[in-house]
Amino acid sequence: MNLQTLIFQLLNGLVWGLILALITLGLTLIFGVLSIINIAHAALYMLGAVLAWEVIQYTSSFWAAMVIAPLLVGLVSVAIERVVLRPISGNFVLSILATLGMLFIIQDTVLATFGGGLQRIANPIRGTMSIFGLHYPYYRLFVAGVSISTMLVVWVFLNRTKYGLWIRAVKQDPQIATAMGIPVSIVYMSTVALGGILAGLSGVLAGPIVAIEYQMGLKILAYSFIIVVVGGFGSIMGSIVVAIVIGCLDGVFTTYFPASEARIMTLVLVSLILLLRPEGIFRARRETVI
Amino acid sequence: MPYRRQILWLFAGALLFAALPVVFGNYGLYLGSALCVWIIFALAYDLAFGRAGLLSFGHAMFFGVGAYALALLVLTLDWGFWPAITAAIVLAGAFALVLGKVALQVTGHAFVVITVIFSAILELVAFSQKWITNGEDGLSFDLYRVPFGFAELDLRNANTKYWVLIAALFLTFLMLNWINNSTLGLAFRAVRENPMRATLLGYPVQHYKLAAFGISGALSGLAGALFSLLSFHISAEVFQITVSINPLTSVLVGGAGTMLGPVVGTTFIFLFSDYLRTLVVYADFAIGVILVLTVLFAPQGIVGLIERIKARRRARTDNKAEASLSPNNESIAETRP
Repeated sequence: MNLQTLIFQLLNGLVWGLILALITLGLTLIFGVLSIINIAHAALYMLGAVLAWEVIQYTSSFWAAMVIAPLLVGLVSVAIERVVLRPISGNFVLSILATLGMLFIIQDTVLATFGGGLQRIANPIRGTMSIFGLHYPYYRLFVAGVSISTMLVVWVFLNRTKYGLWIRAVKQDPQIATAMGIPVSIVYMSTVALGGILAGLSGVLAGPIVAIEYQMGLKILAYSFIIVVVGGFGSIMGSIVVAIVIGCLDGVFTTYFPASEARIMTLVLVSLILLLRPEGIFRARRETVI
Repeated sequence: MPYRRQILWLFAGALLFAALPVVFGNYGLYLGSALCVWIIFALAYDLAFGRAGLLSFGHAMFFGVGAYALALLVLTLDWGFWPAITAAIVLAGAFALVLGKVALQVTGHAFVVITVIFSAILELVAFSQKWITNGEDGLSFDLYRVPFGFAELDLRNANTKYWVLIAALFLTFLMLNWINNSTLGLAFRAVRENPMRATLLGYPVQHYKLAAFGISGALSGLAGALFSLLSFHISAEVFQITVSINPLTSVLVGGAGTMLGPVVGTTFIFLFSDYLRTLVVYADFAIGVILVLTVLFAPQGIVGLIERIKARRRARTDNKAEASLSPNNESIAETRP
């Protein structure tokens, strides 16, 4: 266990943390605006990766997949909101159960069409860069870059545009937002669409790094839940920070311990934080919504 | 429901169970045995979810602890049936009390999430710490003799095992029925429906939630222990989150917070998915559809749906009776704004 391995694992953890941050960004947005823990989000992440694989089979272009797959996932997400979540808005137990049902439906649909085997997306950017005397693949750095810039775009969208202001207004108080003439129903729909697109994009980005299979969503389910809650319900900054911390912790622990022990230690540490500060590290304050 | 009719229902249920092996032979025996275990688990789960309003995604932990406690005590200390099964219940209950004490510090979404986290941790532990659980390969053990008064039952006989399981189900049902109709059950309801009011009325809300979680965990441990007796083999898979989702789905579909709901729901889901698995592999798809449809159209479950239909019919006949009894315009005048 030398310093190089540690740096390598730390970098891996950082990249993985950024992917996790991108996944939970959508989850946090939806939670913040609709007060729903969307369990189907994990399936949407998986769907992003699977659709990317399918698109690559047809077009043999990763870049086409990176555009098409997230949009398709966004459409699925909107359908879920319209058909399933809309009629039960406000009931948190029912919304959890309904999105759980959607998770099963999406997973088994993928199992039926895509199959149960593992697939891999070929690495679109070959080559490695030498940092600290070790060779680090360019693609992972690219993932980190895309992840950070997507989060920046979302931040600008939420804080500097009219539609972002609408979303923030609905998040603060849907009733007053309605009274001010904001189309609350459309805001709900577009928030869920944005969440779906982000889940799909993170699935595409993770595609060349992890194995693609119909249950890959379940692997990030617990993590993404924890990040949303520990980050402070609905606080986007908080969830990004926690996602990166979790990724790095995982990276450091896997340097010294077997993978499963490392995950156990990360989860125990994070749940300790949750119990010490049940409201999360970054509590979403009313006046500064983001 | 009147007491006499309830007893009638119980007998009808018992008859149905007795008929399973007669009609379907050995397959029915296997089906009925597994069904007993899952109904006990669903009944236990409903005490936390339906009665006390604690949505948990972590009951697989207590199920698993019960199963492994029994197997390990039999394997390492050579315990007999009664002490091992008692220990399984007590250990699972104690485990639920400890975890509940921690998890109940938070409410709402955070509680749901913390049960997911705990469950994920324990699942990882169970799969990685092979020296205790033997991971996916699991443990095999034998526990055939059940001393019963002067006689001794032999669990290798599938018929005997089936009746032992039915007896366990019957006792669990009676016990939960008694709890739910007692003042304790009423307190659970108060805590679920309006925790603030219950606090102001002087009920120690936290203690009641913990009690519900603990009893629910102990009975889940019983279900797990009985599950391990089905094939005298268990593996780390009992800790998977899908095991927690099982009773949750059953309770929701049957009707949360009722005595019959978990029974009806488990029977429906179990027989349905078992039937589906013989046709297609995609049973989860059907479960997902059932979940979504239940949430959208019958959030009170099958039992709630039947009650609603009954209430509507009763209201209609009452209206008719009223109309024929009093043919004056009073009722019409009252409904006018």
